[in-house]
Amino acid sequence: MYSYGKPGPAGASGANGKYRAILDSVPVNIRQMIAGLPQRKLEGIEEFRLKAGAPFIVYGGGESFFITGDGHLSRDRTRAYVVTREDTEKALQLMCDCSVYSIEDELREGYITIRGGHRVGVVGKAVTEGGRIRTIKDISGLNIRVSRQVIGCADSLMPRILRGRDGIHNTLIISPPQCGKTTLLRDIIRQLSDGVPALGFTGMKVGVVDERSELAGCYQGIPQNSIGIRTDVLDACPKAQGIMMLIRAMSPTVIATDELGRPEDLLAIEEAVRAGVNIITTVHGWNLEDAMQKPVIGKLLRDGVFERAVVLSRRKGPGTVEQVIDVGVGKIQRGFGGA
Amino acid sequence: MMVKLIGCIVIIACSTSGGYLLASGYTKRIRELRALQYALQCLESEILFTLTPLPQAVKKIAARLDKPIDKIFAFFGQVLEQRAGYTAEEAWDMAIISARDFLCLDREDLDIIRGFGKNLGSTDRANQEKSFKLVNYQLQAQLVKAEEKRSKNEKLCKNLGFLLGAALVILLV
Repeated sequence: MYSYGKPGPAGASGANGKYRAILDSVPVNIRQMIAGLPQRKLEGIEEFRLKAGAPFIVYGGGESFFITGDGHLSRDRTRAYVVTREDTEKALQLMCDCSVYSIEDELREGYITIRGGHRVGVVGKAVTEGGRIRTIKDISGLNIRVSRQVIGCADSLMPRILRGRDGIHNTLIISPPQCGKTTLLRDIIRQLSDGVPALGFTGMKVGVVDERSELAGCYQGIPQNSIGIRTDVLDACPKAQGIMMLIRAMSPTVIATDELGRPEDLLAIEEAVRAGVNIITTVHGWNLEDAMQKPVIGKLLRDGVFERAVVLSRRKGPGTVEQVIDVGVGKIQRGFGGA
Repeated sequence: MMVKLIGCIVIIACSTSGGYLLASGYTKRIRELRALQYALQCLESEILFTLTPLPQAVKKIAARLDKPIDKIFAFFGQVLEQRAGYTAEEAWDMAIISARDFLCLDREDLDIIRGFGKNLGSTDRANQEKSFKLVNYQLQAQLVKAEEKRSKNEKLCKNLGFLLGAALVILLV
């Protein structure tokens, strides 16, 4: 017979601030490895990748490193800690507070949001039913993406987005993946909602449809990111339905969503514009011409729904603002530098 | 003479109360099984209908349970909330081990609830539902057994306690 005695203190996860939630979501042996890394190196990590039977890898600043069993970064594959299936399955349970039933819907989409707003991509064996994914079992790989909030990254853009005191120009953020469009949108939302004293702007009601729980990073319904005091978040809600719900229920001045593009989104956006609500959204793309090619966004652009387009790149690091375009007029302003 | 009489009374009183104590174990076991069934039903509705995460669900339930079953849930909730890296199964085991000395449940009962812990929280809703159905069914069967045992043994224990005391007194006198 074995005995555990009283539950002890929370292990190695001491006062590691924003990494606390990540440490809490992995088994104790891996916690110790991560907690052992020097703070400076920890700061640079963007992704922690746990795959059963493969070395424990972290990504940061375009480079990848292995993590060794004694908690060091290394480029030597043979020294890497090899993740076990037990590690990944235990990690999944810890990520959802031992309540897998409560994240069924998220799991079906292939990712979950943990405390702190970090997102975890999940792969394994998909169980389908009638052609639709019912759940994912035999979890073999987890990718913990560290959520980064850059307060103030939208400062230089705010004067271009605001239109007087009571509205904004409908804005489209165009960006390739990993260039910080969600981070930028989040800060715009925060500033619209809280107000920008420097511009004499006092803030407006913002509605956010956060289909993939990336913007607000809601954990059990509570935003983990700072997104402003006048912001209402519909978490994990399909965009088209969510936009309609917000218009009817919360009377927002601005509606913000991430990655617009489904056919049904078109109707919802048109409805919002008719209702006099301003829109700010993002789309994957390299430039305005690229965005024009997309069926839904292209149509909205041609119809003149959007007045401003912001193009991002990674040229000077994530979040470099390449262009701000007055879409209606076709006037381009270049070079805002790193945001 | 007086001392003898008092001695006899003390012996009989002790053995009788011993018998009653033994007998009360049967009633207490039934009470605990019922309380456990109720607690798991509460947990089931929290899990299946409101999808409350385990730590919150367990804390809520622990607050409205009677002693000594609440000890299991309070401890379980406490371990989960600390996020010390234990899964629900491990935490549930710890809770049962910490509380079992206060309980009148027998080994079989404990094995059933520990078996239930193996699936707790680690599967999707449909599987949780099955696991709750199973444990409810098993506890019901234990309850029937416990009732039988009580009706057979409760009176026996009480009488035997008194009779043993009386026999001892006769022998000594």
